[in-house]
Formats: sequence, structure tokens, C-alpha cells
Amino acid sequence: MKFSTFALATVLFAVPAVALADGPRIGANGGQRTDAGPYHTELVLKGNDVVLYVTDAADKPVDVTGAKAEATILADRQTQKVVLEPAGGNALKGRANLGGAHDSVKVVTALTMPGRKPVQARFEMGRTGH
Amino acid sequence: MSVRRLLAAAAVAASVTASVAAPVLAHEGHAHGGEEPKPVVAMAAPTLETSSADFELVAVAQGRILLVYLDRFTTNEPVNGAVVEITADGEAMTASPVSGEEGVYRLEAGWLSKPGAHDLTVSITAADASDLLIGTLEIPATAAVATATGTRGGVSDVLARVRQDSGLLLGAAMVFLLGVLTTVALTQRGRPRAVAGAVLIGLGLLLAGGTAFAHGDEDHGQDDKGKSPAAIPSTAPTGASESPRRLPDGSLYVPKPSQRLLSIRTTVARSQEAARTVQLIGQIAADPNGGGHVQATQIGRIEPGDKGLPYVGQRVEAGQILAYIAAAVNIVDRSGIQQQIAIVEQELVIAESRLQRLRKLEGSVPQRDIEEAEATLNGLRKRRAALSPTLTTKEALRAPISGIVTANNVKVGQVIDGRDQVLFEIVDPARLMIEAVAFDPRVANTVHMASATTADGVTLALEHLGHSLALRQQAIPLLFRIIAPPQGLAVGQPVRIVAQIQGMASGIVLPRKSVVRSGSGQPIVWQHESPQRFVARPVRTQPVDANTVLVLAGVEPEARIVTDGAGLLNQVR
Repeated sequence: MKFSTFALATVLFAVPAVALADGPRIGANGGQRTDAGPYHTELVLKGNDVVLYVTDAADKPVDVTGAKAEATILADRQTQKVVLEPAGGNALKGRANLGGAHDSVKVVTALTMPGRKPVQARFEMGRTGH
Repeated sequence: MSVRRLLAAAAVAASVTASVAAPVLAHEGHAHGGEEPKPVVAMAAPTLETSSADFELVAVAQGRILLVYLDRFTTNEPVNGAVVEITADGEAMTASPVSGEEGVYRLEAGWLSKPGAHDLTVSITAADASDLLIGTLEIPATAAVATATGTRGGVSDVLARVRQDSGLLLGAAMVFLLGVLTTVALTQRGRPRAVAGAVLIGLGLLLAGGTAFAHGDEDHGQDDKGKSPAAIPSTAPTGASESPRRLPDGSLYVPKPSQRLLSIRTTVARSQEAARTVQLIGQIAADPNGGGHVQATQIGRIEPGDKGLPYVGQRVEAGQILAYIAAAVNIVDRSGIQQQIAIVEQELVIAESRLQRLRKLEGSVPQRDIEEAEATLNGLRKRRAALSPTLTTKEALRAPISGIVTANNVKVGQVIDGRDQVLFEIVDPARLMIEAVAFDPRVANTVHMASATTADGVTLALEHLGHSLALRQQAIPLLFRIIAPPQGLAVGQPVRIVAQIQGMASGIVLPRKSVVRSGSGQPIVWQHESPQRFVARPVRTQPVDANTVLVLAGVEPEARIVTDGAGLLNQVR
């Protein structure tokens, strides 16, 4: 085999591995980040505030004006539903009753971007790499 | 020549398209690296699989009914008594447990008959954990029609449909025309251009035919509509209509009902350090202090003891009389003894009368004479007493230890003629040992812990007693004591011993039953990769003790490995 052919093959095989490699699971705002349909979503719990940041697959912020979101939160064995409202930029905000404990809180968000179908995402706080 | 080139180009194009298209088709939305494409399993019913760190959930839609199989993520144990609330299309409903089934919940909902993708949020509250799970359930548009027509697909069916449908008839005619054109083109030798033209025309015709085939799902014949409600398979409440099968990539698709039936259990692989081990072959032996032989000290005839002769398997206590030996005295000896008895008895009579005479003359004869006569008489009586029982006295054979009679080599009336003949063997089942041989002197010196398994799978904890300094048949005999021996062990039974020696090895500790043999004889474990999929992982193992093995290579930490039911999974074809 010619060296050039070999080199070409190596490059071709290496490209998908690099291109497909996933970024860190922690988002730009310090929250857990996960996939939601065509988007990346990042959830931050601060006190009783629930903030959902939406980015595209390349981690560029997506404007969420006109978007709707709902979070189902399981904390202390209690399930509660929180409506998240657009709060400027790529953030959706809502208030929940968490009692300050963010460990082993599980959150499911349903995000509806304008003119799109709802997409779901699941977060498990206090547990990384899941 | 150019035809061949064309063909080659087509092949290249096809392969490129396939390789690009496959990943695109495999994932909707976007995907990241690190996820190997999984084989698409054609399931009979719309199925949702999802899992979290605590739970694993499989939901199967059957008409308007959704069956939810809920298991523990790590162990694959069914979860009973959980509250399962399913939210879909903004409607929250609680699934009720199916009676008689473990970890199966049932839900009847209207949205299940609506085709399309449904996003589900499942809230689970079990006794010890609660969780939120999400997933998407795709209800195919023609679920009912597909199940109704899917069952019939024979040639006669196709012919019947062609006859009924004008579009299909047209398509069939075009295909026939294409065949004729191709034949004509192929018979015109050396004219690639003509061939290419014919192929083009043919393709065009085929496409036209395709549009004719692919008309919407309007009228497919009246009989279909009439039959479809009745033709929906009425599956059992557990939906055990699918069977486990091997997928083209060698992994297994095992639906949840089958997993429940085989009671598949898993464990999470954890990296651990374990002592290095060696395997030895040994056999069970009796403790020299816990085994006894009964032998006769003289020639004689066996007579049963008070309770008869002991039989094999009987428990005897130390000191218990097992049998008597009536001494055998030959005729010459017997007559000699009888002669001696006669002489002694004769002397006895004389001595007695002499003593009586002397006693009557007491005072006139010296006292010394009387005492002498008394001594003579006593001596004669003792000789008589010593002589007479030699013909009648029996020797009692007593059990030297308490235990079980393991051998009985005598029958009533049997004559024992050798003193080295073993009449009974007794073994104390509470004091058994294992004798093993090691070929490596270093092993013999470093063994400290050991366990053994018998052929029928009984595990024995062993304590190393020591090893011989003399080689026996080029090997070193090692002795182990069985700690608390179970019932049913037999002396001489072969056992496999796993002995720990110095040094540590790191790997994943798994139960021995996890490791099974693949078709090619390679040791493998089954990894529970997704809720209904199992993948075989070839492994390199080393025994830790009789029941566990150390997997040195082949399993990643945190993988879920099948423990119970691995052998059954292995038989799925």
C-alpha cells in the first residue's frame, strides 16, 4: 500500500471519532447538561430557582423567546410540576419548592420551542456522569 | 470492458452511500461518539425502553393497553408494590399492578390508539427509591392494519391482491416489459450504449411502477377492513407473544416476560483485588484420629454381638461390641487341653480329700501340712479355672471410635484365619480431611487458605494442616482439614481445590455461575447492555475460591453481568 493511501485512510478514519466526540457533561453555567432532541439543555438549581439553558448541538445559545417549558421535579419523594418561563437570552426560569436540598433531585423537562414538537430531557442532580 | 467499469463504479457508490446512510438512519436527532450503533430489533408491539441508576423500565403497548415491566437496574429483580404514574400528552394516569405477575403494571389509555410519537414521563415511587424516567413511545400509524395483513404474505395472497388492484396489475406488466427489454439488450452483444439505454428505460419504468405500488393506504380490498378488528392478535395480559432470539451480531434479544421466566439476575461489575490462586486435585480421606479398623487378635469363628453384626452405614459408639470371635482350637490342642483338665481334676479330688483328712486331725498334725494342702488345692483350682474357658470363652470385638461403619467384611459364622484381616472400618464423618497433591514445591509452601468443591457442587471450607517433606510420585502431598463437613461426603471422593497463594491480582469478582462457555468453547459472560438486550463478552478468568472467579480481562467495571440464568441465556439460539 502506498504511503499516501495509508495516510488518507488514517485521516478518514480519524475524522468521525474527533467530530463525534462529545463535550463535557457540565454546561457553561455550571449545571448538568444533557441532550433534548436536537438541542443541548442545561439545568441549574439555585435555591428554589430552576433555570433551564438551551443551546444547539454546537453549544451555541438558542433564543428561547416564545418557547414553553415544564419541569417535573422529584425531590424528597414528592413530585411537583413547575412551569418555566422565558427569561431572556437562552434561559427559562421557574420557581420550585425544593427545601434547599439538591442532592438526589431528579428533574424531567419538556421543552417546546416555537413551531416545534416538545422534547424531553432528564437530569439527575448530585450524580454526575449519568 | 466499460460495462465492468460501470458496475465497479456502481458498487463503489453503493458502498459509500450505505456507509454514510447507515449512521444517519440509526439516530434521529443528533448523536455523539462513544455510542456504538445497536442492531435494530423488530418488535411486534410498540416498545419503550428506559432506565436510570435505580430502575429499568420496559413499556409495551398492546392496543389500548400499556404493560410496564419494572425492574431494579443493578440486579434485574422485578419491583413490586411501586406506584407507577405515567404522564403522556398532558394526561397523568396511574398504572395498576397486574395480579399474579411480579413487577408488571397495566395502564389503559386513549392516547395509545393515537399514532405518532408520545413523550412519556414515568414517575416511580417504590418502597426504597423514587425516580422519574422519560422515553418516547412510537405508535405506528398502521399498527392494526400491519398486524392484520402481516400474517398473510404468501404468493397466493400477492396474486389475489394483484388481481384486485389495477395499479398493481400495471406495475406487474411494467416489470414484465423491463424483463423483455433487458433480454433484448443483453442479446445485442458489444453494444454497451444500447445496454445502458435499456437499463435507463427499465429503471424509469420501474420507478413508474413503484409509484403505482406506493399508493396511500386507501382501499386495500374489502376483506381487509372487514377482518382487521378480529385479526388483531389477542395476546395474554403479560404479552408473552415474543420469544428470545439471537440477533445477527451475536447478542441476544430477550423480552422482559422471558427474562422473568428465566429469572435473570445481574450484578454490577466492580474492580477488586483478590489473592492469587492455584487449582489442585485431591480426594477426601479419613482423619487418622477419626477413622478406625477392627481386627481380630486370634483365629476363630465370627459370632454376632448382642445387636447382631453392624451393617454398613450404621452409627456405632466407641466401646460398642460389634461381634465375638469364638476361638478355634484344633483337635490335637483340644484333646491336650482336655487331658490336662482331666489330670488337674484328678489331682483336685486327691488334694481335696487330703485336706479334709488333715483338717479332721487338726492339732495332731503340724499346721504347716494343712496350709500346704490348702495352697496345693487353691493352685489346682486356679489351673482348672484357667484351662476350662479356653474351649468356650469368646473374644469381644469393640468399636475403637464412634462413627459410621464404612466397611463390613464379615458374615456370621465366618472363620477368621489371619490377624491382619480388617473386619470393620469405622469413619467419624465429623472429622474428615482432604489429601491433595501439588507438583510445585512453592505452592506447597505458600498455601494458606483453600476451599474445595465436590463433583456435585458442594463447597467445603478447608484449613491447611501441612504438607509432606517426602515426594510421593514426584508430587508433594498436602493435607487439609474440612471445617464443619456437610453430610454426604465419602472417603475417596475426588474434589477440586482452589488454594490461595501469596500475591494479589486485580480484576472483577463474579460468581462462578456467571461464566459460561460459548459455542466455540471460549469462556464468556453475558452483559445486560440494554433492558432487553444481552451481549456476550469473552473473558479471561482465574478462580478465587470454589464459588467465585476473578475476571482478569474482558469486562468493563460498572457493566451489568448476568449471574442467575447465564446458562439458560447461553442456550438461546
